[in-house]
Amino acid sequence: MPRRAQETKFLQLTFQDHYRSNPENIDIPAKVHAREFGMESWAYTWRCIERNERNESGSTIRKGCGRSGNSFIRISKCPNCGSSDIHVNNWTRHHGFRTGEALVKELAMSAPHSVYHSAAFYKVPVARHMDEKEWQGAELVFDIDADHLNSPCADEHDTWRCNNPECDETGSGRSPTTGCPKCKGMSFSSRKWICDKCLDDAKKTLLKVYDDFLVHDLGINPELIQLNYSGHRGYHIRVRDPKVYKLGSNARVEIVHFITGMGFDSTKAVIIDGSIPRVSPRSFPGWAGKTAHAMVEFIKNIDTYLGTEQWVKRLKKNRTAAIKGLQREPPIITTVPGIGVKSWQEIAAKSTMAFGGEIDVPVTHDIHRIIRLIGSLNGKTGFLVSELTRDETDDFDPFGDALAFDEGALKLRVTGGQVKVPRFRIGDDAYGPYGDEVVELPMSAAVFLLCKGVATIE
Amino acid sequence: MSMSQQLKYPFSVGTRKAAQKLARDLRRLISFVESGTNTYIIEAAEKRVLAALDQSEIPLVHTGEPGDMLIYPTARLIVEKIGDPRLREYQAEAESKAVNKHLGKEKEDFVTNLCQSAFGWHVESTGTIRERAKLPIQLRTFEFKLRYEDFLEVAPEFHQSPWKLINRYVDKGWVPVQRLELNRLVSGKFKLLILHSTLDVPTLPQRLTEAVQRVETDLRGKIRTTKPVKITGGVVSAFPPCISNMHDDATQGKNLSHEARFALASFLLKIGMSQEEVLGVFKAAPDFVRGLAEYQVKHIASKAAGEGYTPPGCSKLQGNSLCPVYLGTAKDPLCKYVQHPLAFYQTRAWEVSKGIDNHSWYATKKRKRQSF
Repeated sequence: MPRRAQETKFLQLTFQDHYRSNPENIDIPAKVHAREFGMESWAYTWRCIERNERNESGSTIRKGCGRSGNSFIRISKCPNCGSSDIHVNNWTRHHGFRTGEALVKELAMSAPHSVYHSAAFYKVPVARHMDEKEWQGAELVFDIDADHLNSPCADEHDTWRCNNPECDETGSGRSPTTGCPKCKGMSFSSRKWICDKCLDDAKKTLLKVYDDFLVHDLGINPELIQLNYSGHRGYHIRVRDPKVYKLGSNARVEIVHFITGMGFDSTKAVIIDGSIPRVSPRSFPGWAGKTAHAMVEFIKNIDTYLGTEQWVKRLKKNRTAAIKGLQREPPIITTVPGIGVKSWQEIAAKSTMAFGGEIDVPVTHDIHRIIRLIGSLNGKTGFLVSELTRDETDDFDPFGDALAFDEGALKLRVTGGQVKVPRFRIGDDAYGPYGDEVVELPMSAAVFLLCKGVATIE
Repeated sequence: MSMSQQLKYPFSVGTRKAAQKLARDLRRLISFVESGTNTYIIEAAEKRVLAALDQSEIPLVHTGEPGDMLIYPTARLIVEKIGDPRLREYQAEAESKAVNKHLGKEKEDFVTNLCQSAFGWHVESTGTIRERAKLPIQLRTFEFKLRYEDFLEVAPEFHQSPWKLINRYVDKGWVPVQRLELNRLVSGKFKLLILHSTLDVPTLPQRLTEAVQRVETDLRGKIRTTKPVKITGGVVSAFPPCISNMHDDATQGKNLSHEARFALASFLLKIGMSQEEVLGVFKAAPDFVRGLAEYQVKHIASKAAGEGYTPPGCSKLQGNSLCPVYLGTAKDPLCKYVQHPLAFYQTRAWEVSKGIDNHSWYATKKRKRQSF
């Protein structure tokens, strides 16, 4: 359901209040003058396209009125002339700030839905075209998004709606891959929710990428790594080591593959020694030393593997023996009869892919990417984009520690409908599930539902 | 570093300093080589460019004159004046090959010093043979270790699987490398320096202009004889982004990795191009050897029972960094709905033949197979 103007205006004022009273929350990125900023605003700007067209009889007619304006709701027709040929936008990029104070001042004034800045440093960050900006280098960034992790809880709290206007069927879980059960259409809108389970999965991935790959394998100084909660479905990592700034996109792809386990040549990790197949010992550096561990994890979860290779059955049958052998040092794989070295190599390749850290790939290798400003508010939830140290991360609670609004309460009409607004937790209290009902909620919970677009102010 | 070593490694600090002592900038270089007996430098530079164009060995001119140091900068000047990216590619390839060959004869210390002084790389020895003998056999063969940030300046250019970071024994940020690999990284870095440098060349005086004209004539002749066959527009426009990139690179004479060549050749054969036509696509490659290419294309075309090799699928191409959509440098709505370049081609060629350019039907008729 699209948000109404009244609620949008309320959220903007609430955000504005927050930025005015808490300017110290904003983390000013290093070399702020060299960054490009992007803003997602609450209001949409629209522009009606004016053009001359010839009609069937050959005479020229004018279409559109050329006017432009702002609107708090997303419009699909020009409010002036009714033309549907309009441009609507709530994004602006290429902003620049000379100082941190200027940035904070702008936030207190415009209180946008979301604020982003480039991981890159530019000579001319405000130039309209990338090649005019003169790229000087970029931090190495990683985005871990619960949406990419396929956590099973998505089936409990995500919902979908069929985009066929005559059908409008809704359901819970992920949108059906085999088509709408009612009209067989393949186009759906989905509402993604968050819960402790999927954010916990995201946190586990964050710590794996940080501990195992960045600090342990790549030897990056922990003091030069900044972590934060995104304010919605995930976590970010920024490597602020000048040595990585110069890395081009191709080099970053290699780091992505290293972390995700992609392109691993398992024929070097599972070899024939004499006539016995062997897996690299754990003492080996890099992925070779992780192979045995990755295989153990893969075999433990073999029931969820959908492949139909011959070895799947044998592995399922001899699961315990296989795991036991692989857990020895050096690992042994001769405990499972009937699986040859080629199959073991295939298993190793599948295992490394599954074992790698799931990250949102293009974010890392796009050297012009923008990323959320730490200390800003996330307009999808009203939560704070919160900076974390490695130690704080273990106990960090997104639904408690990232809350920005602790005063007051608000009466809302929740529009949960049949699929209902799923149960959620704010601080120590749980709310919902809600159908269509009026509730009074503490401010953080109320802002959360308004940001999610599932309630109106009563 | 001896003078003969300086001549072998034009990117070294010593060589750059010696050259700059004679000619501080481009203008001074031009007036230096044009005056008196110094014109031998222009002659030698011209020969150096022509050798690169012929894919023969770069001649090393060592007359003992300090002007010898200016032969390489003058050769670069000639190439940049012509401004043809194919010529620059030939030069970069040949110069880098020469460096790789010279490095093979140097002592270990020399190579590590060169890495450090010329590129600022952090390279360390992994110990003597005796010390390494204690390591497991797989780890014993690496004489050096290099920081991963430095390794990644060049390694992604090589594409083959052993060069991927994931396939290295990365230890606390250090990547173990063998001596031959280090040589390859150094010469590869030199190639990149040539490919990425641009000189703003002013109007040239007579002798240099003549040299430029002779190289240009030679280049035109070469381009004409190796002009690749044109595939009809309809077919090319149905190529998926990956194949389209490889095809463009091949016809422009860029050096493709082994995997890219295999993917491109097997793809073109599968969609019905003749072996002769496929060979034509590769003719412009800087290291094209007709007999060898013929043999390879024939082999790809005729695997068991005349069926030929199937080109690699999307996941393999992604793993080899050959999928531009996965790398974020290209986009096509169809890619999400296929897992193989041939599947892409089948659908797109049909669309092209029917004149369909609205792709919104994918969402309703096709199943999503991958996300980027």
